Amino acid sequence: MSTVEFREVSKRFKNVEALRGASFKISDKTVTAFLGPNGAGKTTSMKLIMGFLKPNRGEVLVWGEEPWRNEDIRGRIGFMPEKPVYPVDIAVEDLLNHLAMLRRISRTDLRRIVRLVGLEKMVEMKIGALSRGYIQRVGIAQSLLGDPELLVLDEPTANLDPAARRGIIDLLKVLNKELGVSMVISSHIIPELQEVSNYAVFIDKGVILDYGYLEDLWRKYETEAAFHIEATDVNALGKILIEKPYIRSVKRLNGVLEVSIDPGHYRSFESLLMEMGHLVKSYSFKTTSLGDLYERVVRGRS
Amino acid sequence: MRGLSGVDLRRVHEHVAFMANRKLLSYSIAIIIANIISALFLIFFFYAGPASSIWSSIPLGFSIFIYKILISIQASRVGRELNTGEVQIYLAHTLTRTEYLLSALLVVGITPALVLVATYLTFLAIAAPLSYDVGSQLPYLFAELMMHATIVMALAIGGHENAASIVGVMLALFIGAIMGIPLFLLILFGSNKPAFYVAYAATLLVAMATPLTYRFTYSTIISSPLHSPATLPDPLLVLLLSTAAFIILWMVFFIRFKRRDL
Repeated sequence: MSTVEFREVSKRFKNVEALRGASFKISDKTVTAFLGPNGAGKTTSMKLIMGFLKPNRGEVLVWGEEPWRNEDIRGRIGFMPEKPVYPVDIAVEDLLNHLAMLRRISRTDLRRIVRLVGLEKMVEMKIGALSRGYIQRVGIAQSLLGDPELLVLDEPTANLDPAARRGIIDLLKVLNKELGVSMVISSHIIPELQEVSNYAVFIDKGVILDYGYLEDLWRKYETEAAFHIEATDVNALGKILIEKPYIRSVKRLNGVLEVSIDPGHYRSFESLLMEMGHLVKSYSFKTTSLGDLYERVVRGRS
Repeated sequence: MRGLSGVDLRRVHEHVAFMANRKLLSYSIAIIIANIISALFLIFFFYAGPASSIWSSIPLGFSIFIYKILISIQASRVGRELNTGEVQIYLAHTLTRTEYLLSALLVVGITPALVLVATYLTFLAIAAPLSYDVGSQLPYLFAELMMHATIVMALAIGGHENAASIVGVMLALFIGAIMGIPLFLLILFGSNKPAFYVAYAATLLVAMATPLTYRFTYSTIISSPLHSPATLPDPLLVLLLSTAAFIILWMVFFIRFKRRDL
């Protein structure tokens, strides 16, 4: 079963059609980059996942249930809204304590989360006195309460300076590594999600352009990409590969080979790797640019 | 602890405490001012002549005004939570829509209304325990504050946070004048049947929004030679209709809020 599924979903706000027959699936245990320009329908989709909005047409399913009908679903999701909507007149710890009490979470678990997101020194400050970067951390902290199975993060790096953005992306990487939680992260800044995501949904003007595992999308759109190969004999494999005409470069990185190849030769290269199974322990596929993939998806639709 | 309709009363209690704590100062100011005014009137007028109800009606009028302002401010704050999206934070943490609105109803309407009723119950128990005239005001008082809360919350839930506070203050200030218009027409058109029915319906509608004020106005009019009391809506009928109206309206709010976009 998919974690999230949209079936022909349309959502209209007065004269604006935010989503137009959107259909996509998000698989379990993925970190999904929900990508599109401003006004594409990302926030509407996030709110539909949370059940804050009711679709005008179609169905939104989260673990097979409609979230606007079954409110218990929200207990399994951690949500960080796009805008910093937290009450500014109270201290960080007062807000987090209240939210923890709603979820029946112990003070110990709350302290663990506060430490994890690096808010220990800020808990007594009023939310209104925090910088944007720390407000985003409050957002992430509250979304982690109750060990959710799915994190829905709406523009977690919006309006942040580059250093703060870097901090949030690093934090998301840590969360993914330590908690292994599924995530749906929306952003209009495409390259920054490249480091954390393995699944993507592309949206523009309320229409889903494409979705799927990044590996599949890179192959489908033949974007420039690289293979990371673990080999029993790195030097021997490197010598064989460099002879192939479609291979652009072979680099050795910490005992792993990074092989860059021409788009359009992925399948033949993968066949070659299968033939050399005695030398290849494992391999993975990495794009060189999520932005490039986005461009190709958009061009493919237009 | 799940109650009726799957409402978790523990969560409601948590959220009510959180909401009320954030406005503790305005609650405290309202309670202190209302109690001081009531105490002063009790000291100066009750002991001067306990037969007169001046010691209760004037401070009660002040207290109602103060509490209506408090209710309007609280409703406006709920409107702001809905407009800014702050409500999403609470709903994301397992609070259901019904629990959120129930918390708002308790903080905005029921708690202030019960605090004022309880305050006057204490005064009455000490000063005039056997006075039916004074004691019977309390249900009217509760209904008046609940109707005020209902009107301003209708605006707040609709996302009109500023209108909730402005209309709330205007109603608190000018309800007597607003009521005077249909009442005047009612008395004027007493013998003209179509105009009388319109004026009667308008008077009933305004009276339902403010049953205690209407009760006071009604008793003033019938004790004067202006008009036969038979043509005016009965205050008890007004109280019953008012109570039924705010209960029905809140049920509508709950049903509509379940499907509202947030």
